[in-house]
Amino acid sequence: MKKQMRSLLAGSLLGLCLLASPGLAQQYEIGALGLISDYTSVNVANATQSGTVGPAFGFSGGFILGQMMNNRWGGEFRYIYFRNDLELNAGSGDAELGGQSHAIHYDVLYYFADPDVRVRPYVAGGFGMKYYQGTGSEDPFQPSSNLALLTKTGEVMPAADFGVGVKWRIGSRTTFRLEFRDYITGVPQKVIAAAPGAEIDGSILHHWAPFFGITWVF
Amino acid sequence: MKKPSLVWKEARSLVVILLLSGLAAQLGAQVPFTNSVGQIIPLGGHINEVAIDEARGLIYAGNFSAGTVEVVSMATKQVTARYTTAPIGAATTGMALSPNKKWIIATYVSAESGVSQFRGLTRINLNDPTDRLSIARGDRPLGVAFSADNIALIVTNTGLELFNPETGQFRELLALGETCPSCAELPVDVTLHLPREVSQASVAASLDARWIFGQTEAFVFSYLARSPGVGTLLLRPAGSVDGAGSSITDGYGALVREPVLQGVSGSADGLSFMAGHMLFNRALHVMADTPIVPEGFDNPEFIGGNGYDPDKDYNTVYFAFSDPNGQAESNPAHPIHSILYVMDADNLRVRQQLRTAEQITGRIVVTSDGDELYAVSESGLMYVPIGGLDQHPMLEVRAEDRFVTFEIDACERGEGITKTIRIENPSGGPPAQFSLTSMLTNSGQRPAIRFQPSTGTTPADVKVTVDVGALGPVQGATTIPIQISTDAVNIPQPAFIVANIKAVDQRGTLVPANGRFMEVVGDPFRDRYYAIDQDNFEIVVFDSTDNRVLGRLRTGNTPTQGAVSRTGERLFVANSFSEGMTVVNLNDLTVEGMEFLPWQTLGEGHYPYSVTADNTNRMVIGVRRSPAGGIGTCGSPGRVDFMHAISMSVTSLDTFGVVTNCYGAIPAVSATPDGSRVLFAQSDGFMQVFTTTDNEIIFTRQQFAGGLQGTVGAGPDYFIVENNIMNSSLVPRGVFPDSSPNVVSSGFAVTSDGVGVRSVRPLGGQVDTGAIQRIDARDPSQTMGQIRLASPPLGPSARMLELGFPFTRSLSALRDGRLVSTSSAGVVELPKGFDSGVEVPVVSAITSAADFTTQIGSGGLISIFGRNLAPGTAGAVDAPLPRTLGNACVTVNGESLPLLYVSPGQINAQLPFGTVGPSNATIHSETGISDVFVTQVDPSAPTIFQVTGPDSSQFAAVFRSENFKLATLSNPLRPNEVAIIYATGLGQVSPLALPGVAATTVPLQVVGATPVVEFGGVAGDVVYAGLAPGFVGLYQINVHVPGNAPLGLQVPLTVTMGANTTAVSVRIVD
Repeated sequence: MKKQMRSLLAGSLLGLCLLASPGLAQQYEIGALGLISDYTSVNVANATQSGTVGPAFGFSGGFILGQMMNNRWGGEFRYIYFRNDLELNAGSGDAELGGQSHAIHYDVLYYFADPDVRVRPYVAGGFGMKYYQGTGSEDPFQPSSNLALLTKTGEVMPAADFGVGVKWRIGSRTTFRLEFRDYITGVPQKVIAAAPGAEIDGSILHHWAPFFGITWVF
Repeated sequence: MKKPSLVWKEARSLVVILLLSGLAAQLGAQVPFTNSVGQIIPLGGHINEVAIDEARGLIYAGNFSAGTVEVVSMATKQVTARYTTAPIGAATTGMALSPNKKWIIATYVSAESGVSQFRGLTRINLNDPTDRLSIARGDRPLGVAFSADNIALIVTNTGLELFNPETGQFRELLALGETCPSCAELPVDVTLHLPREVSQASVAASLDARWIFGQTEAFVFSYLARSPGVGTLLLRPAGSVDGAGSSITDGYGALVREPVLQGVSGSADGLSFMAGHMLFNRALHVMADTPIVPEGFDNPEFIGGNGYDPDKDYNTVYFAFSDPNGQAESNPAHPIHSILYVMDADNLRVRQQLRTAEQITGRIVVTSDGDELYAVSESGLMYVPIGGLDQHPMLEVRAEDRFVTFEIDACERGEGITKTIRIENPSGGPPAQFSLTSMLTNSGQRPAIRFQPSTGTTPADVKVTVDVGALGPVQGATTIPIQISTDAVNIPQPAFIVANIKAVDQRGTLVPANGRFMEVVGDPFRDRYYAIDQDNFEIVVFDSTDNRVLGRLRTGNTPTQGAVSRTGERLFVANSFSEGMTVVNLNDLTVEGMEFLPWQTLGEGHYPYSVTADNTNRMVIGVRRSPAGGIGTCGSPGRVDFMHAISMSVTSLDTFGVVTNCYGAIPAVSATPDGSRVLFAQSDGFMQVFTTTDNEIIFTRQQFAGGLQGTVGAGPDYFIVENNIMNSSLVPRGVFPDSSPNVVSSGFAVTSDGVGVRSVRPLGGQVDTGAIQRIDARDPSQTMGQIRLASPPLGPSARMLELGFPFTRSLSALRDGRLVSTSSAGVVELPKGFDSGVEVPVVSAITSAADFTTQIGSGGLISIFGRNLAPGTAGAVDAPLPRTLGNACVTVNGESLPLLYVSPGQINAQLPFGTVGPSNATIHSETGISDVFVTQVDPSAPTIFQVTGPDSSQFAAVFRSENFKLATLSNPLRPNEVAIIYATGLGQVSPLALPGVAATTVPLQVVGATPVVEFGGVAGDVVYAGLAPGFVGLYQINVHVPGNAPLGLQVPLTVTMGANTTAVSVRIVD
């Protein structure tokens, strides 16, 4: 897992450096953000039964390191920790396993207002990696194990995200932001494995995450 | 045949006595027997009488050959005086001491035949021994006794006379051959049935001297002294047969067996007296005829005597019997020549047998406190400090240990089963040495019976071990006598080991009880049954609801059969060595007493053997009658009497219609359920059907010329004799096909729902279980198969067989439909549906218990599938595992398997570690034994157990050491962690494991060859392979999951030992 995390971090930093425009007067900001998160479930079914599986509603927290490339464009390196237990819901019984994910990604932001405007809406989008992890105590006789298996293991997935938000300057260097992101990854099928004879319907997992953040501009 | 003259007979008897006297003198010089009781008081000549004078501390001994009375000090045991009582040439024939201790009278006759002048008596005044009066008589005085009025009764060769020693006057009481005015009234004047002369007599008074009892070779008598010189005489002819075989009386009132003429002694209370070996009451009924003296014993060889103990609740009588040849004993260096029996005074049950220092040859007298016993013996007198037996080494096996019963399951083939018996000195005296052996011939190399210790001294707890394996392939009950050699002065009561090897298909519950139960009688009105115990002369009363012993009731001598009266108020028990029926009040469970078959009205002696109840509330009794014959004599030993169950009146019809009540053998009787008809069956093959309507025999048949034995029974409209069934007219319907030629029928009962049930027992010498079967009275060929019994029914005793009564009634129905049977170790109780579910077990497959494949390894756990494997479901609760579970067991190659679980469809068991190759498996269930099922067993054949999940999904029994949970899809294995695999069939381990025993933790028991364990083809490092500690037959393999093991949902996991591999799949994730 550490190995996977190291590769995820290195890739993200590389992206950040490539996107930076060294010719512009640079303005940076650093801050923290977090709130809640939730996923869309995927369907799983075998010949006789079906259910839904995926990370459940949870919370998030992370930090950002951003830069203003000009008055309207900016970029951000973000690390976000998401705590979302894994959930399998089926008629034959519900199963749960502790779950979390780590997201590291770089986003490009377009502001709809100049920096001197107090309130600046923006849109954002980017790429990165996401590391899904099953945690907690495994149950040898997990309910509905004939559909899917919630496994205490880890899996790195490439991730894309996009979203919208608004920054509100509340001091000379302090900015408050409120934003909404959608992380898109494939289904982590080691952590959420389809049982023999069962199949997970769909390969995309949407991860909805509203954030509240505060940054310091320097 | 010409009768010998009385003179000649007298002379002959005198010659015999003289010869015996000479023999006694010779023997008297011999060294006394060791390990015996008694101090010999040598007296010259031949002593034939003894009297005790406690007031003076003297013993008077009548000296036959010297014609004197020897006076012996009780204190010094020395002769203090000698009174000459007979002239030279005369012999003392009798002697008596008056109750007031003033007079002693000795009678004498000539020692030479034909010398008539030496006949008479001598009276001595003990207060002044010089005051002697000798009176010559023309007849021959043979014996004398005093009554309480100090009047002597003298028995002469021609009659009885009273003699007043004060006046010297005689008064005739009885003149043989003439009417007797002093005699009690009887239906027939018995004097008409007596000879005119007798030649031998013995006479004695009760302790209170109110009664005088006597015996001659022709009659026995009792005399009640009512007032001085006045009394009532009761005579009973003995029906004697002289030495030439000629009857000297015509037999009225004759005894079934005449008492051996050695001596008469009266009880303290005058209620009974001993005459030779027989016990009479004062009405001259035979209360008991001890079977100790062998049948047909030659009288002149009999040496013995008897005497009552006036103490000990009037219930002790001593009886001496000497076997000139010595009784067989385990110690040939110490033959038993003279035995003093201590017996119950009401039925002659032997309580104790004492070796005496020399042979007791005549009368026994006991001091009033019961502590000192003096007896006429070979050398003179013998003194036995009977109250001080605690000074002698004695030995007995504790009463409750005399029948050591081993209930052995047929599947038990272990080293042995052990029980402890107590060997003790009952008197608490000095220790006695003992040595124990058994006579069982064992089939193996090691003894089947072991005693630990086998030698020692009392008191001792001896462990008796029955080595079931060494017993060999026997089934049923085997009774093994324990041979006891000892230096004790007593002959221990016999003790037995009863090894009842019970297979699970043997039906019934054995209720162990001490005794030899000849018959068991179900009470149709109560929840009780009664077992007739011929060893202890008792009726053992059982509560049929829980088989608890409610009590033991005394019977007469040698009880044989019993029956409940038609109204259910009483139980009548036939005492085959007495003239009495024991009557028990069943409402309050008390013995009402002995009701006798009265010789006075029957005209002869009858011993009851068989009894049944008819519908007129009579007890129908098959009897053995006097061989001398009586009124209406027919010369045959069998007859049928009737005793009314309320009035107790006894009738004996001379004829039943046109058929004479006279049978060639003792009839066994059995009434139909309604009591209207009674079957008589004799061992000579004759059978009759008696109807109570007209008291007639309506059918008679000699169907079985070869003789009959076994059981006799009656159903509603049929009869059972041996293994034959006949209709109500004795027309044969068929023969029951017995399962073995080594069995004979033993019992028959009709249950409350009218179904007939019969049982069979093994023939003598055969070891078998016996069997029981429900019968089809219409078609014997359709009768249900025989069901083996938990313990075989008892056969008739040797004495019954000897007397021509080879019949048994071993089976009886209880009122709730259950059945009870006699057995060699107690009673067997059978449920009403004893033969239900008789489908035998059928084996369809034998697999590994782990994965239900046919890959089976030595020492492994197996599952046996089939039907009727066990009557119910049961599981073992603890180790060592039982060999029998839920009335089922399994043998493989003859060895029983430890069982974990049994059910009708499946049995789980452990194979022995040594079992390899094609193996024969057999299921034993209470419904039968399965056919042999052959299965292949390899030295090692691993199979991994399967675990069923909550949703019935199956998982291999592979556990993760990470969390010690089952490795499943949702709890997958990880590379480099240790997987714990549970399997079976990995073969023998080291240290060696025992089948059925839990594996040890220290040391661990590891397999000889390490198995190869692979995950997806990649071998893992086996850390441990051996038995799982605390479990039976369960192996554990601890193996590292290789780091390079393939990942996946279904990775093959294989375990290989030798040529055998087993495979499961596991999930491995990183």
